[in-house]
Amino acid sequence: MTQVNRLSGGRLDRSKSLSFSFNGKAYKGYQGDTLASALLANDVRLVGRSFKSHRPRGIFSAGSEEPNALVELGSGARQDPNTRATTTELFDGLTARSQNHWPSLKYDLLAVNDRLSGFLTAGFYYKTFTWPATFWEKLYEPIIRRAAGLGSLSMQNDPDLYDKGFLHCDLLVIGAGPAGLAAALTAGRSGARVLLAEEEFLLGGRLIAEDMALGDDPAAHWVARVQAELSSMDNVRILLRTTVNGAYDHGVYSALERVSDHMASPEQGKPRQVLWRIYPKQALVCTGAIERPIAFENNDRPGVMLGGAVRAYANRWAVTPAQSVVVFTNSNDGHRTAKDLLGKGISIPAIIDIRQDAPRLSGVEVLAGAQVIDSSGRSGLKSIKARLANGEIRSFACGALAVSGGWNPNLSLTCHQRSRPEWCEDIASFVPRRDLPPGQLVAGAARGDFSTSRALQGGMNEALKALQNIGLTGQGIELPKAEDADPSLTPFWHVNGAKGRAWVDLQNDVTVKDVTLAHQEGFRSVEHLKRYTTLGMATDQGKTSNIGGLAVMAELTGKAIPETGTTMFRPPYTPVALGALAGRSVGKDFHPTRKTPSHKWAEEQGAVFVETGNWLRAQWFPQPGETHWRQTVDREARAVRKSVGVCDVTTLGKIDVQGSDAATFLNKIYANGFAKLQVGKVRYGIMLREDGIAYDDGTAARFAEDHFVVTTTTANAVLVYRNMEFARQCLWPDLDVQMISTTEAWAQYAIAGPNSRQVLQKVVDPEHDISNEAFPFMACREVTICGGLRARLFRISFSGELAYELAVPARFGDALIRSLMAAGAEYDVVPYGTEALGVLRVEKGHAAGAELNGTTTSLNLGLGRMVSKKKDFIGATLSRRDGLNGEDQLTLVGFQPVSKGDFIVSGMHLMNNEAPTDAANDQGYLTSAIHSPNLGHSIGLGFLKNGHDRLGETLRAVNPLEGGEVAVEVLSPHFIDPEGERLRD
Amino acid sequence: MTDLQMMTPLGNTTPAVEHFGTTCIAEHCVTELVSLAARRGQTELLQSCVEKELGVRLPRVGGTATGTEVSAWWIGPDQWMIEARWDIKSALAGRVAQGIGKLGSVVDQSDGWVRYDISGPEVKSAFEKLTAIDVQMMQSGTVVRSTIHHIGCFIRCETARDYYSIYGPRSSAGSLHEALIGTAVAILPAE
Amino acid sequence: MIIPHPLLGPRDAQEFTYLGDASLINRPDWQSENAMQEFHDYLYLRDNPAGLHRELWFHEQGDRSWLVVTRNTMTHEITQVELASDVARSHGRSR
Repeated sequence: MTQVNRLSGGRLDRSKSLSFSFNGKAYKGYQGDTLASALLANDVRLVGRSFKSHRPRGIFSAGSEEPNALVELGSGARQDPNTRATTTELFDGLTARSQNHWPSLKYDLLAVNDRLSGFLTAGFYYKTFTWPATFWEKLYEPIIRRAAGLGSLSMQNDPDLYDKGFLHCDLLVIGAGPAGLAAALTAGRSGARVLLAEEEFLLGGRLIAEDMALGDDPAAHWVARVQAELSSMDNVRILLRTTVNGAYDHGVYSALERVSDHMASPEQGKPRQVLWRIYPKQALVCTGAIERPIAFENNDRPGVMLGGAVRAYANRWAVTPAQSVVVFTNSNDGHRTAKDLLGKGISIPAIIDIRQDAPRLSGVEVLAGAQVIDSSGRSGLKSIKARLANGEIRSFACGALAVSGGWNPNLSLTCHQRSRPEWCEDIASFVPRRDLPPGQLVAGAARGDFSTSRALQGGMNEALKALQNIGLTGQGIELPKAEDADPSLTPFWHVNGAKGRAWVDLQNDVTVKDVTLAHQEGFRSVEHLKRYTTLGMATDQGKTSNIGGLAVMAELTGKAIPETGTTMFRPPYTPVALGALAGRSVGKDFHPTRKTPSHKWAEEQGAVFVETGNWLRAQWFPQPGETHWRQTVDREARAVRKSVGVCDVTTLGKIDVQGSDAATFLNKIYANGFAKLQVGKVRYGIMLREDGIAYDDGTAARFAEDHFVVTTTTANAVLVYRNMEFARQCLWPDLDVQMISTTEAWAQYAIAGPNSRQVLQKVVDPEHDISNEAFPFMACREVTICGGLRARLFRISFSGELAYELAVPARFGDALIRSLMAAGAEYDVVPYGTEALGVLRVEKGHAAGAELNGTTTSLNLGLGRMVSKKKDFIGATLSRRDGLNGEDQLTLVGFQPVSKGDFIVSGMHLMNNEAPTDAANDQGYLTSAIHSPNLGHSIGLGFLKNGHDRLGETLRAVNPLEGGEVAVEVLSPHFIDPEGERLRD
Repeated sequence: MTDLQMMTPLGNTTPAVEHFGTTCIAEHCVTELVSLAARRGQTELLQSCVEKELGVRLPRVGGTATGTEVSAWWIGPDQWMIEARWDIKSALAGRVAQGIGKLGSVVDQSDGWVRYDISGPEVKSAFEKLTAIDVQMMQSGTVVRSTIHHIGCFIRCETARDYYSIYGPRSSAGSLHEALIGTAVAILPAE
Repeated sequence: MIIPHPLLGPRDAQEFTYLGDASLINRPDWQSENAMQEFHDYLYLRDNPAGLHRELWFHEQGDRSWLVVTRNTMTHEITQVELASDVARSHGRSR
């Protein structure tokens, strides 16, 4: 039998039959179904097991508030757990599975938890498994984790794309029910830029869920007309399948558009979902209302559903959950459900109406003053038991119970910025307060205006108000005549006297007794109640349960519900996949990649790259036959000292500083002096933070009296620029200084080694004399190369060898390195990478990032003498603090193992030979350690207390983390050419 | 001039041009760029000097100005970018510097940027996925600086809703290109 | 958050980098008698008001202006945004 519960009518395309499977069994549905409506049509009632007690559960609602019907969709990498069947649009080939059971949905061994219900009460995690403490991590937690939780992850990479996007509009209308449609039409006709976001795949909201007329036509006709008009307007954009999930500061909203979730897989290159950030000038919340249940004993069986949902299934999806449905209500809303179902030929054995003065309804037995007190049917409702007004108990056989306890305005978005709602006695529910977040308005049922007529009117009026707020004028529209029923009800939250369990929160298995117990144990605040019992947590965030829990709490405390309070509403309104939050920033696209102009050339050379910030830098260039990176690095480092090597240093930050006060300015940002630097010269400089700690070093080259080029480390280029702008704009705003980053504009190469000048002379145009006399150490000059290309040449050295840096416009970087390699061929030039660069600088004793580690001063770095005492600069005063200048300062020295075969590693701490290994005896630590190919053994740099006075001493370098200890000798940090003769040669 | 071979920011010898449906993404390599900042207190003199020397009035906040040979756009307080719209070879920086003397500071930016021209009737939807800026409402001849997929960029509106130039940092040319292409594909009409 | 830039109008806070209290503009005189104490206070002592707070933001992904933003730390409402260079000058900072 297929679709035994399918009725006539509905908003389905019956010409499009869709096949789907649930727990491996094949079913049919129609275009327009949700998974939930199709399951109901096929009389599938049991769809999952509850979180804690593993109780059988069915479909409860018809929307995103669903607490029960969470399924796992798809397979393989696309397996998607905890998806609400009620919002899952049916498509051909959809596969779904139920969750939280073992071995099967029908026979779940963990249903034993249900028998242990007395034990699994509120706060049971806190009370149990507390001793012995060591058992928690190894025993209790793994077991609990296996038993609890709902769906499971695929453990594979998500194969889909997710986009992020940004939308701007005058008016964002959230929800396309009667209020939203009236608002969108009003604003759209005025010419305003309107964005209408609707969570569902059809417009209309309750207008298409009810059997209702607007004017003389069925409501759906009016919806279709409005949709057609809105779609024809260039200034209106409709986003279907889009949930506005959060309202943020300054009127920014987030929304998730499910672009491809109604297809088996997204089209090639298309996103599965888009996370929109919306910047509306005004936002109108038209999110409707969510129905609330009434708690009674065993009210969680499959078949016990919200009344409005039963009605929506019948009217919109042409489905009844059963052929015989009993209604349980405290208002006329339940009667509406009965009327609609009767009209569809469904049998209604009774309306159980708690009101003593319940009205009659023709064709149905209305039991006024009665209450449902129990239900039966292990894996699906078979009957309910009611206590009548006279105390008599009666049973009714039925496949479903439509429960209506009233409606709660869906005001989540109005409260995302801490605003708390206020109580409205008329509808016995919370409504948004008047002081909404700036730029936000609310209309329709979300504001407590429950009748269709008031919703339409409210939507129009609030839209006009919104337009006025932003200086636009609109005109009222002609609204169709609509029902204007009185929403009043008799507040009723749960049936008293239950011996067994009456569920308040279906998703978290929280019962009336749990709330009572929590209260008895002293959890009086709503926030505490929530955390102790888990009421209102997890995927549904208590959309159908929070108020019920509050009501029980209020009874216990003897307070009114508004005095009891409400928990905080926080974004997102419905769960958002992490993939959507990440957007395209995943894998290799996690951040942009920066490549130097000769990147392709380096790839051709087989370079191994390393990420430094966003840059990809060549780490080393393996040659055939080299099997270990150290062979490669040793060869490169040796070649530089022996002849010549070329290294891409494009990534260094370059900041162009000009203006008549440029030198004065640099004097303020560098710890050492720059005012007297000659034109045509470069100087090493160190920058301090205001607290006196060194944070960056580099060089500044003076090309003219009023023109410098500052280089920074690769890592700090952005920070240094930011700090320099701070100094320029906030500290010395009247200096004549102009700055701009030119990092990107130049390709820059270090040419280092005793033959570097010979190589350069073949590249630099002959009219430029770069002999030692004409172009000495620390000179800089604008030159031309390769027949007229403008270039900048600097004679600076990081390796300690005779060395230059040559910069050309970036578009010529690739050609330049090829030219340099060709020119250097006769000197066996090698390209060298960052690793060899590191080896060379450690051999020379130059500090780098490992030494400028955010805790070290210029004194520590051995640069104390450079620091000017005669001028003000950033960090000047506080670098003179006693604490940074007292006894026992760490100073930068070199280290080598006493036994040359030993290896030292950075991070090792230094201990005196006789002293125990502990923090109290710590003498310092190693910051950089390498194998020196030019010395043939391990060497390192590090900070040692009073290091300068301890040259020649031996210490123990210890590695308490990984074990190991090496005897080391303290040396000058300058292992190679300590007098610096090679640089100046 | 040099015998060295130029490379485009994407690392090729010719600029990349690609079409995705009606959207065209083209790497644009025939412009020269220099940044120009007024020396302290010289803004007005600089303005008139530039107008005389280069035939363009330096624009106000967020604006562009187009002369016969060069165009200019605002990049910050008292700072502009000048672009030579015709290929006058790499003389632009020198020419500007010479023209204005000590009234402003000039820095050659030609090699600092990659420029992509993106055009077609659907491009405004592409920008929705690229930047928080309300590109749809940009008027022809306006420029904003913001980010595209974490990459700082200038977006210049050449023809509103139809034709835009994006200037991004040259080193990120590849990532920016991938972002543009990925979005151009994502907005292709459904099959 | 959205910061109304005094030159460019409303811009998403993602374009900006936050520094901290705008009092960082008031860098003490290094030659003052009490310079060490003043610099200590300047760098380490901050008010942490529940309410209006003047703070420095850098429009890093925009026009590179440093701004002084007056923001209510309770509501995030931004009531004033000024160019930091103007604020600095008004506090007597110059060269």
